[in-house]
Amino acid sequence: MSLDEKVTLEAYVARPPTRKCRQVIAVMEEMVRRYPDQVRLVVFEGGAEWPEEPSRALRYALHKGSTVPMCYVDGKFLVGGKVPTLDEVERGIKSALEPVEGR
Amino acid sequence: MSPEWRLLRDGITDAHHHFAVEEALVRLVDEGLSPPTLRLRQVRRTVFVGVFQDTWAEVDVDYCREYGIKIVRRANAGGAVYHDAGSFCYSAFFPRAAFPQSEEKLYRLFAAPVIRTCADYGVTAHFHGRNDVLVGERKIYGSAQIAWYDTFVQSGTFLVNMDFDVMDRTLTPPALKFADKPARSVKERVTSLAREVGRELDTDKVIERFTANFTQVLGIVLMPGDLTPEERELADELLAVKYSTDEWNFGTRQAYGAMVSARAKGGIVSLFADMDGGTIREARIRGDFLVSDRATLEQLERALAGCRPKEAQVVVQAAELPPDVRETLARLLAEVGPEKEEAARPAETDKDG
Repeated sequence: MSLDEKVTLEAYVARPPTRKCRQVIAVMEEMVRRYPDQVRLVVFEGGAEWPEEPSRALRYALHKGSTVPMCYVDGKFLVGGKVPTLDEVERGIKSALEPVEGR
Repeated sequence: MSPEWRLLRDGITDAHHHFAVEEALVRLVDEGLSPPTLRLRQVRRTVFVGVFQDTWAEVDVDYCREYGIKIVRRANAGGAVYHDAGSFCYSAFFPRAAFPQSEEKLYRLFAAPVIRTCADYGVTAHFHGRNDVLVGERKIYGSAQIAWYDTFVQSGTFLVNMDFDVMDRTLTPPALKFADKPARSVKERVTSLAREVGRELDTDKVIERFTANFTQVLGIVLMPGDLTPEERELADELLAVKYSTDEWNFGTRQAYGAMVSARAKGGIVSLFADMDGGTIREARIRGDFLVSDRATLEQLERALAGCRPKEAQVVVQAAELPPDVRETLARLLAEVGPEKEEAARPAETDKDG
């Protein structure tokens, strides 16, 4: 699977990250460990230069208002305002991978 | 028994320090280390820039520097606003569960003390749109929210006494922002309680009225308090690593010779260009239109460097952008050139004079 085909996890957190923000990142990083060939993680810190262009959905959310944190899987909203559970993120990833695997 | 909140008037007037305290409070309320708090604050002359705005495009940075007006980026979205000590802001920090209403309802709830305070001075104000209070068609109060894990921050600015001339001079929003509004400038779009009453007001007395109305509307008790040592320490840390830095307040953009904007179907498109004679030395494309891939814009910016505007138009037409953005950008390129750049500079000098 090439980089372009990987499912992108996006985490929007505070800058510098709080204790809970680090938990968010840890949950997302665990998913990258579980799915190293299928998943990549991009962390956006509020107010910092974006490491890359956010997904359309995250970009829209960022312009609408401020919620910390926000998590997206493959451009789809997953959770906002709380630390996601491993199960929540994994379900999101599996859902994003399903159509790819079915091809 | 009514819930008890801390009433905080820390007297911090430096805008950078002020925002560092704001973030320290939300972080510590969220950790359960600080109580629910109403913070009332006044700042010296400052422009607050929204977290996603381009400071150089929205603010007359040179004017602000010349007249000692600070520029600081705030942590939430929205437009650039000018503040001075004639007005005041509040921030309410509380557990989200304490007021579980929708965000829309919270905007209305927290606007009510402002409307009541206006009424106390014989001024009829009304809630408008998503988060404003107007007197007639002019805005007297604006507000913003931050949802931060289990904590919520509702902030607002109430214009009491305001130097509208300085405000108008500091803000340089694209004229397009007013294209669909009756007002042609920020100055025409806003008002203050003093302007409506017809005399200068004692801001402290207005704050007292607002505070009394706030407790009634929210059904809480306010107990005066100070910043805790933990809050001070965290605020100092955030000030040092974030709010006092140019990286945070200005971003990395440099001043460009020419800036032109136009409204496309998908939003405002701005083109910043540094010209070398008739050639684009460097270009930057910004705006509030949506693109799915930032890399496309960056690639296009690189491709425009070294082009004459007409050549650049051809490059833009081939770019993978929404058609309306592409067309708008091509039109803007026709406006960029050495003449445009030269024309922009004397005009700014004249304004300062």
